[in-house]
Amino acid sequence: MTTINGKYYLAGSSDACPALLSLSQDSGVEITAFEEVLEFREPSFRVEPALGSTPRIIRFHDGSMFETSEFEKFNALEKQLGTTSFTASLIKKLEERWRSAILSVFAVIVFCILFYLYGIPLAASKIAETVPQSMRAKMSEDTMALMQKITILRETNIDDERRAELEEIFFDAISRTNLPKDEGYEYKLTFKDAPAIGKNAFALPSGEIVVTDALVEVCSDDQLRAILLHEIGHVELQHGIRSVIQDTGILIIISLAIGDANGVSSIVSALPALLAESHYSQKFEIESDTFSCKHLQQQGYNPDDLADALQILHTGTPDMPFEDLVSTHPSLKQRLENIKENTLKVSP
Amino acid sequence: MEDSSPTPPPSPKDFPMQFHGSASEYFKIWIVNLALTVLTLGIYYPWAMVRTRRYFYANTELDSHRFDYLADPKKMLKGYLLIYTAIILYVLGMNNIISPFIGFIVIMALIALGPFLMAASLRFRHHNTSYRNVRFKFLGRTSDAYAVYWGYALLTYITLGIMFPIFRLKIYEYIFDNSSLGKTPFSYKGEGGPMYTIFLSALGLMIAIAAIFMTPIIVFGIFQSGNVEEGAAATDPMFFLIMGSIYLVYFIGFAFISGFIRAKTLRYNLSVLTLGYEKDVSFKSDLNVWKFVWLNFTNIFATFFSLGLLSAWAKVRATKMVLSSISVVSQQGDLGSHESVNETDQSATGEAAVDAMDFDVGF
Repeated sequence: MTTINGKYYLAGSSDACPALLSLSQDSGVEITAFEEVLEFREPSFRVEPALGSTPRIIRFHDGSMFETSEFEKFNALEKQLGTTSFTASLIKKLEERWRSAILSVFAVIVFCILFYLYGIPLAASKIAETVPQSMRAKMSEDTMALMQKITILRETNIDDERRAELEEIFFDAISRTNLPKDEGYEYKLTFKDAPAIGKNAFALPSGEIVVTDALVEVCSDDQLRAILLHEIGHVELQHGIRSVIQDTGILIIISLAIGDANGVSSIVSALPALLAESHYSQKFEIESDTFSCKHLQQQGYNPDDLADALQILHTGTPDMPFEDLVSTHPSLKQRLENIKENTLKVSP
Repeated sequence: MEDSSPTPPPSPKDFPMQFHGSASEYFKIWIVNLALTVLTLGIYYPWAMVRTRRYFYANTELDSHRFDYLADPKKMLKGYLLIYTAIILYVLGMNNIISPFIGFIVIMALIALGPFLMAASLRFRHHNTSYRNVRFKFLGRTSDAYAVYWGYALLTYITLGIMFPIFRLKIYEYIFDNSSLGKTPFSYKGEGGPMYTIFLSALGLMIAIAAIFMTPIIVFGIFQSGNVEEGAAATDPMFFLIMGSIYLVYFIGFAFISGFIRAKTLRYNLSVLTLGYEKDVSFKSDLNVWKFVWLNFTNIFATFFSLGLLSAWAKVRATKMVLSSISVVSQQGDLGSHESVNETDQSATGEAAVDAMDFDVGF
């Protein structure tokens, strides 16, 4: 009969004494301490799950406990008792082996990458589908108000006639896309004089698309159609709402992860958030370019107009270091390559 | 434990703290639990947290007895789910996905409940920490938590930070003076003077670091700005270089100062802490402040550049240095006998049942 040397701690006080532990005849345990023999049967005792190389502990229902560092003997006794749960022994095994530790490193990395590439975008597009037009309109109003604050949006200087022409191109392009009508977007073309943002156009989730005077002045009608289709792509693919949800998701995950880290995180967390947000944004730009390409060809126009328009927009903006990583837009080279790819695909 | 035979007068004795944890063993435990947490989308977190914390407690030895952490993860899950929900609602509200008003309500509720959560957390943490089969207790009242965390925080704000060391002192006083090992109380006799010395020297260090590192950057910046034409500054690689250096200095300063404050406050707090009705058990730490600052500094950099992988190693290393610097001094020659508080005594104090939450509250 094996006996295990350890310490027996009395209930209710810090007093302890050397003790012996062994199996009792009726498959319980026996403690020999203070020159007495105490017997415990299940469920009046509980074996604490093993953890690293910390002492093994049995707690008794009266509040006393037994502690030992004779691991091998204790493991044998534990086996005979049959008290170890499957999960407890599995977790202990996982925690002991380098193989599972290395596997865990990969599991964490792979999970994070998959979640980032597919999990968050998928969840965001599902949530975006449930957003009603009234809320999209509200978000668009807020965005316009914010734009008004950080840049100056003045009344347009483009004359009524030219505006009417462009509106015709705009609604013609929309009607010929044959997109489902039940999404409820309220399409609207707005012209603004906004020197601070130069040659530019942007789409709001409601369906309102804003073009600057500078853009209208430098682009041909065909190029403007290509740009407008790119912006319509942003609306139809719900990029505005999806990006807000995705950025929020990243923020939530980072804030939950910070709870676990110590001190370093507050300074470090801003960088991954920035990188993730720009990566998502670049993906949306490429998606909209593809959308524009596809519909230009379907409507009998040349996708080169989009390529030309992008080149015009790009002149005058300087290259910055690390631009590919932190910019909201992909590089011109990437976008032109994407257009070429999509041109070949549809018209071989 | 009465002894009838005449004993020689007890002589004071030192009991050093020991930490037996190893970085490689802890790394495996930590990463496996992290993986399980991630794969279960966070549900496993309370179990992971209990296991990793228990690793540190059960590897801490004093007078050949170990500490232990006894929390039940199942009971903690509810508290964590509540906090997860609050964070998610707050972030959603702030980003206009749901009404910002809800986000505002959540943050106000967190501020309003902050001291309450703090007190509940301390009660839970103490109740689930044991030494020699005796649980620690936290007897601080929730109303006192409001006085400290709201009252002194407000005072600090009004006095533009001048009262900050007193704010910290009151926090330590609230935590330590209300703690006991079973029925044996701790007492804390901290004073304002030494606290001011710690925080003023930290401020001095901060200014010195800023002066030493920032001066060349600023001089360089001014020198460079002469060469760059107006308007191009924001896109100039020089701009990035200068911003990067400022970021780095902030990082270095943070690593340096946080280590300094932690080491200094630990040494001081332990020197004014006693255990027992007769206050015959005292504490001391001979932690070398500059060694700890260097350790903290290298830990932060190692954690950052290993993308968090070395954080397990860093934590074991810091714990080892801190714990092995601490010793417990007993005037009686032993660490005494301590009675547990039984649960009927607990409810008699009028405090609600122990709340199942244990949040890391940085102190």
